[in-house]
Amino acid sequence: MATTYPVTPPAEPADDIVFSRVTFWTRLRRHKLAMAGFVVLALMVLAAIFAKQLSPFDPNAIDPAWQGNPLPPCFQNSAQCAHHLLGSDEIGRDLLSRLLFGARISLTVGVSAVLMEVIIGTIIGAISGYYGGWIDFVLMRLTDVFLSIPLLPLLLVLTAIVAANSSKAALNFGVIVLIIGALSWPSVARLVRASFLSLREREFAEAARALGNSDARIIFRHLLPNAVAPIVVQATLDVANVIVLESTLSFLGFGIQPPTASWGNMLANAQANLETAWWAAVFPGLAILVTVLAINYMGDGLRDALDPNSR
Amino acid sequence: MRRTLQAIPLLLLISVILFVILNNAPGGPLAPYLQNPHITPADIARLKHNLGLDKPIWFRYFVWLGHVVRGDWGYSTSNSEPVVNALLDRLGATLELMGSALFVSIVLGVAAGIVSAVYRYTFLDYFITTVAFFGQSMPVFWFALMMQLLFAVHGIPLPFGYEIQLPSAGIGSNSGVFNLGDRLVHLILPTVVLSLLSVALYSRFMRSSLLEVLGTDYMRTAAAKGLTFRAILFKHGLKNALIPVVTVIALSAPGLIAGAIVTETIFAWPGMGRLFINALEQSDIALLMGYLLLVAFLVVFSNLLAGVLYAYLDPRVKYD
Repeated sequence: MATTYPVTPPAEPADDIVFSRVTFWTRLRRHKLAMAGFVVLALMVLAAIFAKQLSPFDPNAIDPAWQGNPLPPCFQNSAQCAHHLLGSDEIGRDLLSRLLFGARISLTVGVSAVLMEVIIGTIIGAISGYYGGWIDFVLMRLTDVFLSIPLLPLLLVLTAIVAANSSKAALNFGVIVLIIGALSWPSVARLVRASFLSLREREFAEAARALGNSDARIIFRHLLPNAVAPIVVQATLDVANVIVLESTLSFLGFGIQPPTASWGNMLANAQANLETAWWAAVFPGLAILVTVLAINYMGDGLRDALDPNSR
Repeated sequence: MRRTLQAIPLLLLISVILFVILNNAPGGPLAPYLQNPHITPADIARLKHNLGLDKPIWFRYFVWLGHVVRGDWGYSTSNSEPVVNALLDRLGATLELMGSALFVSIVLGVAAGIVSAVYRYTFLDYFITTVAFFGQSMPVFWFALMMQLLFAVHGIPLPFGYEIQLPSAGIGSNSGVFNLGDRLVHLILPTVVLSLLSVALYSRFMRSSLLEVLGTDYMRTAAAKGLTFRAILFKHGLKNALIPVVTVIALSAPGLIAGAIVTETIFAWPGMGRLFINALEQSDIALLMGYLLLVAFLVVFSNLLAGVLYAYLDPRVKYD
């Protein structure tokens, strides 16, 4: 009589994201708000690229007709419709032109800082998750530290130190991107580490190892492509976060420095002129809100399309 | 207990990294003096020697740590008083603002989330989730400006023929006398502004958490017993749905700190956030260091609290 051996059931397929291009696009297209967000964002990007051609005035030029009071927008004074559609700021610079050039700054800061954040976060998270052990321990404690210090105050302190050391003019585009990118990687690192912890145990990873691939090749060619979906979602939402961060820094005077227009620094003087020039306070903020909303809806749609099991 | 003990090395590590960043920053702790034309390089060298800045950094760290543990957080150059005093003086105003914002966010956020989940896929639900999405996408400082524009500058005309005009600046009209009504009126705008983001966050969490609970078997069992929906919701549903929300609240409370910096600056609120911005403008490194340390301490503490609360509310989870 044959002894019956306990039969081990076949291993369940690991619960990772089954990525198929077809379902991804159908799901994304079904998400109407995400598509709307995508269209709005595309228009913003076009406006930023063609800022020079679109803007009616030099963003830093003071209108000769300016006499000390901010010029009102078109719908408050129809004489302005031919000149300053959205009025001027408190020193007579065209608001629309500054908004268009501000879009360049906000979008490029957002994308570049997130690119940097993703590169640093992916490398740290991948190394941590792939090797495990004490390397993982050390890198994750470092991550804990940066997650325990709130980002905005830390960013402000670093930009203030740069400013104190030379002058505020040193806070140019590159420095802002560098500081934001260098400090916001921990969330990406944790995400990538979590994916890598499970991916490295999978059979294809073992096969790649057995074939004698180098660690770097396994990490970047075999594991990373399987961890892309959550990174893309996080990166999209982080572009929105960085745009808000940059505008907050610039509003407080520690971001992009005038006369370069950024949506944040355009609002810096708006508070003092709230009573005389409401438009200078409303439009730049509206630009931030619309852009951030568009990106957030897009990120939401991407998450639903890439990873329907989450949430 | 083990997790509580783990917080100590984390705090030490935070202090090391903050110390290294702030002291290795070009200029370092003497930055406020470097731009002063009356201070010669010889003076700087003397100051460096007197303050022990010519010693190796690890040595300075331990000296500094010894002082911090004993409650000496350095001397604030922008306020001409010890850092601890400067921070403690403003702590009350900040806690008042953050406390009222937290209270409002919890009440409004949880209520909105419940309504949203119970009336799922109705107009009310779409309205609440859309408002929450806007709330999460709005820069706090711009929301503050808009509130000031509407309520403090123009006054919102109401159908009853009078305007609501709210004061927006300062902690009270007459700082000498304590007047509760006056205090509360001044709290309205800053509280609304500061709580926006967390109301949005809590309502989204509450909604998804309650939806998950509403779909469980024990809820169906309760309904099968013939209980009314109201009874099921309040006796079984909310108790379970609130557990993850409480954790989120504890974890996200320190997020109010960033909002408080902006809110206090805009509303001239005499709290720690405004102190921090002043310190930034005057490169008061000791005060910045103290502020960051205190804030990081708060974050670590609220993370611990979240773990404890979770274990307490959900007996299946063991806290070690």
